[in-house]
Amino acid sequence: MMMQRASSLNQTLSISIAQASPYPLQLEFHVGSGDVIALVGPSGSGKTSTLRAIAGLSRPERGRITLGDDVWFDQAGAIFVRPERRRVGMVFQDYALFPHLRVIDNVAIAMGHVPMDVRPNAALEVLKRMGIAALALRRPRTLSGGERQRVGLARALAREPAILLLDEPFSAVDRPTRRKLKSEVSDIIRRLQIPTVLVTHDIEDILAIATRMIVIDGGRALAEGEPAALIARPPTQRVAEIICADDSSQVSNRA
Amino acid sequence: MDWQALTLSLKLACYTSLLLLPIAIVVGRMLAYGRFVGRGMLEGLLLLPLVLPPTVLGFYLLVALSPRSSFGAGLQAVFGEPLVFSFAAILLASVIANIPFAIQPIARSFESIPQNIREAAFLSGLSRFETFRRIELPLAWPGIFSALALVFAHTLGEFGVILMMGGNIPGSTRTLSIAIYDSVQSFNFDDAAIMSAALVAIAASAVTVVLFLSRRADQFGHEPRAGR
Repeated sequence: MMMQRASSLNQTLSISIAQASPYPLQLEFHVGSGDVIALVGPSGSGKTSTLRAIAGLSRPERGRITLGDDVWFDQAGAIFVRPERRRVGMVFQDYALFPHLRVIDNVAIAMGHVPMDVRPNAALEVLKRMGIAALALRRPRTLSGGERQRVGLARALAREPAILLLDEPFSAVDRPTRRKLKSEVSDIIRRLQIPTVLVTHDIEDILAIATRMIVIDGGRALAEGEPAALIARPPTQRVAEIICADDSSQVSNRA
Repeated sequence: MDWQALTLSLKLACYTSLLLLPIAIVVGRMLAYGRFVGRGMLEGLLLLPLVLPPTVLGFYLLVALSPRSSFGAGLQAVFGEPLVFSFAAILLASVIANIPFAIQPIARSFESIPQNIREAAFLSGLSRFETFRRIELPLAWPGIFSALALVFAHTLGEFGVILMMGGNIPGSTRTLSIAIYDSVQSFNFDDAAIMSAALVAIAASAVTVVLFLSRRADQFGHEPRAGR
């Protein structure tokens, strides 16, 4: 199976980055294959900056980002691999689908590694696996939020990514759809067995998907651990505040 | 009806659009996404033809291109004849006068593409050029069509710059708008009326066609084949 190619590689994503602006950041962590790390913190804490740095969408001032033996970023060695060469699958908060392309083309466009003539079939195959083959000829504007996010995930997976990045993937999806989508995504991620980094506000997301969580504040890691344990027994007052505040603010946003 | 002037006007409008569009796409995109020193100044400079009286623009072009200036003398050495009072001269004048009409709508349409769409393209493995070709360009079509309509219609109506730069030579610089002025000067109002009506009809249909295409592009997007 196509999607399992990356899993056999068993590569660890290592991140060590530091910067002073736009947000101060000093972080170091590792994500093994099959690990799903949730980054949790107040806005401006640096979790999105971290995700963007891993994807290659921004360039930290110092540090090193590697996947297995591949160096994606090394400030000392002046290495910066552009995002299109990093084999990153990214799911955006507001989907970021290509509005002028049909669903199947949104997915096929990410399959540069598949020969042109079999690409439409391969794209359809990905859609089938996501249970959205029926949407193949629709355009993004005609889709519901949940459908759009499934397409977003299909596109991210179509690239056969070596790592997966999820930026608040469920926050724009309405509540009834969210639970179903979450369990589907969780199943897919578990099967993929590639390093996955999730940025989220939602404790439920973390408990459903993450194998580990890192609590970030002011660009630094305050605590790291297994989600259920960390949520049940936060090591410090500040960690407890961030976990509670994050969740309650999210609840009030939805109301 | 001065058919020669009509043909010349249409030719000028087509040439101006064709020459200006590729430049406007490159420069417009640069203004929309580029972060470079002097970007604001460049944008201001490119807007100048919009606010300057056409006669002023024409005057400077005339002086610059005249064989007495070093630039004009250089051009004369290359082309073998002076560039002023020729079709090449009014084409150059019209390209410069139309810069803002071409670049502004195109820059705005590139700007209106959300940043995360371009980022999603990179993360789908598309190079910067592929992102331009398959994502940015199709999404910028409405702005490109608008630019085309504006430049075409504006060139048909161009008067001051052309008169300054080209004079009134039948077949090479006497465009329809100048022929109209000429007719009125010689009290030939019937001719002027016919040519004016022709200009209105051409400009209106050009704008209608292009805006129709632009709306289609906006509504349905580009229709590439699957997997391309």
